[in-house]
Amino acid sequence: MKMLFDHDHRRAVERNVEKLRKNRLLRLPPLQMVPAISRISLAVVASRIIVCEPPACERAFGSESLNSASTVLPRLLLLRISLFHAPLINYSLIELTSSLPTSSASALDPEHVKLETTSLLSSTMSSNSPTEVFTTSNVFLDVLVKAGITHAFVKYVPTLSFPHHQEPNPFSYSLGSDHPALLEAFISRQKYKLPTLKIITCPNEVREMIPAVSLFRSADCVLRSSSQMVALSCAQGYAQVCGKPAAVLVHVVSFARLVDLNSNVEANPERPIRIAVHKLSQEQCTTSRLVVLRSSSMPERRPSLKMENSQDPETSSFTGYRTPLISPLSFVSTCAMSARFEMGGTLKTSF
Amino acid sequence: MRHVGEIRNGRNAQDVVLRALQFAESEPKGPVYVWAQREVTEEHLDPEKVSDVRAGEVWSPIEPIPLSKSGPYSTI
Repeated sequence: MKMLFDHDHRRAVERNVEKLRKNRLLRLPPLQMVPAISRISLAVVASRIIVCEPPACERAFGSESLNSASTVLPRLLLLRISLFHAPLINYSLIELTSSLPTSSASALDPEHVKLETTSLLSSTMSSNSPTEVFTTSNVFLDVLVKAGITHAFVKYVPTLSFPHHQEPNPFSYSLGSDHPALLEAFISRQKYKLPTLKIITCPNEVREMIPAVSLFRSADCVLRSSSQMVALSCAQGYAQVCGKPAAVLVHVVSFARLVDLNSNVEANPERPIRIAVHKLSQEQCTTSRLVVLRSSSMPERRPSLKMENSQDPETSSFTGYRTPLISPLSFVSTCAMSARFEMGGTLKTSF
Repeated sequence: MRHVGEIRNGRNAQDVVLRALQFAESEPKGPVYVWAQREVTEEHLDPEKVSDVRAGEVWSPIEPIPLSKSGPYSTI
């Protein structure tokens, strides 16, 4: 995790990207590249990198095999970065090991393959050890903890799949790539064993998060539904049950829906909220606890939540999200509203 | 939304967050929204110079108003 959050390292990568840009090999606006590149650099372990546009990738490998490339070509690690699917940053990055079969290498159309370099990032990988920085995000997290907030409900963002990732970390899956500094702050607090916010991951797209369920071993619990704004609903329920504020980390793209939901919440503060908690066995789900929250204040608009737990993570793959180019980090705190609530089942989570 | 605030630099990040929480926890309680641009969240700061705003002490929510002078008589 260290390399991911190193500013110097990121700058070094940026320099490389700048070099590529000058040679018309990579035509990306530099600002938007930053978070994506910092994530790429963590994952890049091989010595050869081919950067090409997605159409070229798909022509070369076929869109099907692009997703399952790691099974077709065992030595090929495929990275699909969500930021690369944003309109202006429409690139995929394919990483090839040196022992890639020549047949598949020649399958790449040289006209569309923009770059093949042997040591794009090797110099940066061997650069100085990561230096720690202290940023606004550290202050931000610190003051949240000091103010007594203990839980953060975070929207799940499938930014990146790590086929070779050994130790899944909830931060790398639940927080987006558009606030790397906050990730650093979380990691820093963890490192120095400071009290920190408990991250509760709230995936809002069932299709997207199914393969990730098995990765959430270290997450506290996974909240899932097919509706948007799971995190906010959960935080509201948390605030109503506990009377304490909870934090929600959202992306700016969610803000409109958030306002919409909030107006519903405020319009019907007396409506009951029902919280049901189910406990799954370890075989059913690697996360032992699942919370389903359903508010009856919006029965027709909010689909009832359903737990699915028998999905095979191997068969699915991540697909990229469209993310806003510059998305501010947002923080929402919901607080207890004067509402009645009724509890269904047994509340087993450690709220 | 009870309150919307923006963190514009690291120096007053604490104040913005605590002020928002004050709004959230004071009656009528409700959600607040605080946002920051990515560049702001990555602003480098000196840990030594972060002021102590005494988060747990001075930023409490509004307390209930006490009874007025005539209150005890009217309630009895």
